[in-house]
Amino acid sequence: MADDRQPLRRRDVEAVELDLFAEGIFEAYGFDFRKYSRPSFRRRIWRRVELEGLTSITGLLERVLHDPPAMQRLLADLSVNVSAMFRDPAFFRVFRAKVVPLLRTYPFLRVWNAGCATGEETMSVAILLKEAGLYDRTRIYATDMDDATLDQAKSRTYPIAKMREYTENYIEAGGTRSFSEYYVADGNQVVFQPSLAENVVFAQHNLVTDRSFNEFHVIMCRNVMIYFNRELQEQVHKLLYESLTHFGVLGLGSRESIAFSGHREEYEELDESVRLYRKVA
Amino acid sequence: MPRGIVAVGASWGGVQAISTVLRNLPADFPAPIVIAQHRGEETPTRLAETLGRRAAIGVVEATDKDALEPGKAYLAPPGYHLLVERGSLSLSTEEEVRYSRPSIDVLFESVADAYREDAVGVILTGASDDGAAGLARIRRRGGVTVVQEPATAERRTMPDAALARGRAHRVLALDEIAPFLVKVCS
Amino acid sequence: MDLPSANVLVADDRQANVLAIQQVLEPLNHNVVTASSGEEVLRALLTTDFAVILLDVQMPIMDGFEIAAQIKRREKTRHIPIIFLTAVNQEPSDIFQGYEAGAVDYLTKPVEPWLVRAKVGAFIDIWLEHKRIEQLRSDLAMAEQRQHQALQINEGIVQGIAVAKMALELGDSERALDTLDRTLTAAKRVISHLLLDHVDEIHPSDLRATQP
Repeated sequence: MADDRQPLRRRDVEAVELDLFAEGIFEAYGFDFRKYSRPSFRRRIWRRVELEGLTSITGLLERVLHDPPAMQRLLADLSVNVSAMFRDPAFFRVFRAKVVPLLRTYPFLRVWNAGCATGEETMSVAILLKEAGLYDRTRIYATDMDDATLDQAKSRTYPIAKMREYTENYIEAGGTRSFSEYYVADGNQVVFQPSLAENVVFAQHNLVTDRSFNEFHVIMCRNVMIYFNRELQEQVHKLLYESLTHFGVLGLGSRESIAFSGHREEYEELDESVRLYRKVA
Repeated sequence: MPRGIVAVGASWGGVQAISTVLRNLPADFPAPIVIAQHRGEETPTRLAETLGRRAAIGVVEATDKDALEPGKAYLAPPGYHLLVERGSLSLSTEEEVRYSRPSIDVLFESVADAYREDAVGVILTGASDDGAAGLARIRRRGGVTVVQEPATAERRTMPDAALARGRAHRVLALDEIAPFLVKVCS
Repeated sequence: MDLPSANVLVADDRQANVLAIQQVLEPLNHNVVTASSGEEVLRALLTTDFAVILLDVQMPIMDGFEIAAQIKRREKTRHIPIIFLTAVNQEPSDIFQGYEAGAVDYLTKPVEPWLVRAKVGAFIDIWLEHKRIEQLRSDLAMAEQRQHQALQINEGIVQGIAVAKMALELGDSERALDTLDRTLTAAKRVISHLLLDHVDEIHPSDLRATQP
């Protein structure tokens, strides 16, 4: 009967909705999530749908387009990278052992913490450089796509409950002082010393849509690109490559790889167990 | 219908259980295998190496954006969630789900959504109910579900929880799982 | 479990009425906050969590109904029970309007002390019960988390031993020892977290309702 006939779908509905969602955000706000890695992207989007009390991705698109605060909430969500200070302590141990000696040869250093989120890694790098006696000659650029997240990073404020984990990480990373020297308790939060942020520039920058803005001796981009698809990773790798000085060092997350980057031949692996690469060509 | 991917979840007692299953798979097993075994962040116990030593198939720690190849097993690394799309895997550092990262539910849910009827989900021994929801999603999307016979599991909590959510296509003793996988994936 | 002090808001533009009610409520031993205008009421609500509000219907500028409407409009305050205070010769239609505006009860002035204490006391008990439940919920969440930490320790040890065993079976005793060493170190760390995060146990008696 005519009533039972329904048009057949050509593609999976959710895939279509996600495409439209990313396209809509890009058109309306200029944030480009079109090449984000789908499995994690769809999971985060669905989480947002639930938190907003909605039932479909299209519903979320409608809200985000018509209600800018909802877009801000989405942005903050997508920007958050659940992190810890001195995450993967082995990385920082090797950094101390193999990268710091290289850095000593420069009179002036520029470090880029790309995708700094709430600043845990920024503080970790600052502390490491202080202990290496290199902080005064360094300028650290901590960038993130979301201004609200950057504000959080600028506040240098973290829950006190996390300090035990961070302290252990710090010690395992080869920290030479007492970690509590670096912060002051304030109720159930701690605030890290202002001196750690003296040479830090916090700035809004979008790895997907913005271009290179300087040349750096060190770029830390750890567990940020895992949320990008391969094509986007290659694009960002190109950006990072172009933002590194000759012999500059790139640091990635422990399960990331430059193997898929078009520039892999131009890096030398500094260590086989942590992801530190030096640009040699 | 040959199945396109096998997802395995385990916690307590998982090392031996997973090792037993993998050891009995032929080197030319026609599907990739993705594994979420609960792991603490502190000690990478070189689990992939250990599991791989006695297996004919290759076992590796997953690297972000690895291609999913047949006859290879990919282990969720400590401190990361493992997710898949058709043909490749990706990692995430989002919050723990039910106190676990890697989470079995996160893996199984993404397997269900990406592979649908081509997915096989296997829940082995474990001490929590992680994976029960994920296995149910695999079943809802038309995939095949296997649960280790709770009485043979080192900890039966996980298989019990999975079965409490609904019947599995097979409830098998450990040494029956590999032959079944070979059958259903060929 | 130490219970917090409840807050009661009393609003009447006539100081004498406010003081009278304040005195009547004293034996209940909770905290009475006073207000003499709609503006003061709304301001008090910004900073304090109230168990119940006693609101005079006839206040200049903003009458009781309007104030109640404002309170109901705000998400943070709409659940707070409101008792209207009215003059003896109140019209039934006004009373109806009061219930429409969201009042849960009425008290006629001058107030009967035992009646006020009984009604206010009842709402304070409800509020305290809510606080207890909140506290229990948070204790439960903590206990759950500790349980998971304990599970983690055990799982980690079990796994480490399994890996070490396998290494031994293959003749690699160095690897086996290394694995055991790292497993124990990690377990020690999580155990110390568990011990240092210790909070008071939940006692079965806490789960019973408070005595009337």
